[in-house]
Amino acid sequence: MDSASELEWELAEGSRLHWVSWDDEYVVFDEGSGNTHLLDFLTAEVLKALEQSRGAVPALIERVAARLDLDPDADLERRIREVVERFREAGLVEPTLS
Amino acid sequence: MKLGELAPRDVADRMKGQGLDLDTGPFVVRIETPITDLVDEIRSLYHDFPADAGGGLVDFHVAVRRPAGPFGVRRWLRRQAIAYLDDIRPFEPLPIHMAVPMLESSINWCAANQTNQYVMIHAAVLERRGSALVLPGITGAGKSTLCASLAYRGWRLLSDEFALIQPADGQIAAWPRPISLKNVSIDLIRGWAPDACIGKSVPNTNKGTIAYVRPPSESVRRAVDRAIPAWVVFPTFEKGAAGRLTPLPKARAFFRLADCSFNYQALGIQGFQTLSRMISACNTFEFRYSSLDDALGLLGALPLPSPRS
Repeated sequence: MDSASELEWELAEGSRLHWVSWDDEYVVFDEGSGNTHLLDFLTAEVLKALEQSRGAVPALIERVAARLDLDPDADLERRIREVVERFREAGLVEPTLS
Repeated sequence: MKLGELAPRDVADRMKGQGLDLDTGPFVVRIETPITDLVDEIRSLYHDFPADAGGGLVDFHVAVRRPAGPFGVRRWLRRQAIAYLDDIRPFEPLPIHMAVPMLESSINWCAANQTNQYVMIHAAVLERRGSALVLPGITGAGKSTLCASLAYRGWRLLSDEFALIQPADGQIAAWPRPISLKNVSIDLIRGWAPDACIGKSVPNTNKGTIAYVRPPSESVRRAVDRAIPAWVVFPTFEKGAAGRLTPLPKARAFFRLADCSFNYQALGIQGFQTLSRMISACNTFEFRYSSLDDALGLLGALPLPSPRS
């Protein structure tokens, strides 16, 4: 994973997240956009990681893998890239300008 | 004084004049109409509600009138009714025999569009031993049929159409207005609850034939009593199906409840916090049924939520 060429991601400007979880599912309300999102366990961990601090996908993979005790393998990388793309489409995250 | 205790002539005169104020629980509705058949139906359906001679604070002002056409031609060629909500006219004129559904829809429209002190869900709500059963549902899911059947067999009616959830404490306020039955449900409930007072059937509405059930007197008398939500059950009527309650994951229940809300989006964080607290405190199910006896038994045996479920 080549971090040097990766975009860094952060929560979209104005986002303020409120969380509630039941079993392995999370409901997140974004006070900035007024949107509510249903997240599974992995998706929620990626968003929590981005809520804590911005980062490129390779760094996110490391953080999520460590947190969930998973191997940072190609399958996890594919899933996390898909999750970040879905967050971007939903307006939850945006690439950092710096 | 209850509406049913007022002289019919006085009620008609007041409604033809400046309007009569009905205390429906959380909202006082001023009703104004010169349409005699509508006055008679209101007197029957709202028989047990406190009525006021007027002059007090009013939440909604609904007038159902005959539209005046050019030279009165339209009025007499095809008799129609039209609703005015203060200066707003949200609905097209309808044939005059649909005046009762027009009035009920108008009151619903006022609540859904002019108030935000509650998180409002399109749901029937009933209560037993202080615990509220919330039955959200789209039209045709069998919500009102279940509501009427339970309301006349030991459950207290809080509402057929609106779960009014107080953001401050999560309790549900009662709004026990008439229950709207459609099509085959009308005769079903006539047989299920022979003592229930059911108004005239109104054919050819956009939902088929509609008739309204007068809310039980005890439910109206207790309209100020709130209830604590305990169960959120999404009903589906399915012909021939054995009654079956299936646990529904809470996150899914949250979204389905929000989808049934009139004002979740408008309330922002307050709506999210109120609904999430409610879902956390309730047991949540999907419910398929075809028999009212099955439904009565299964819903009556629902376990109370554990304190931290």
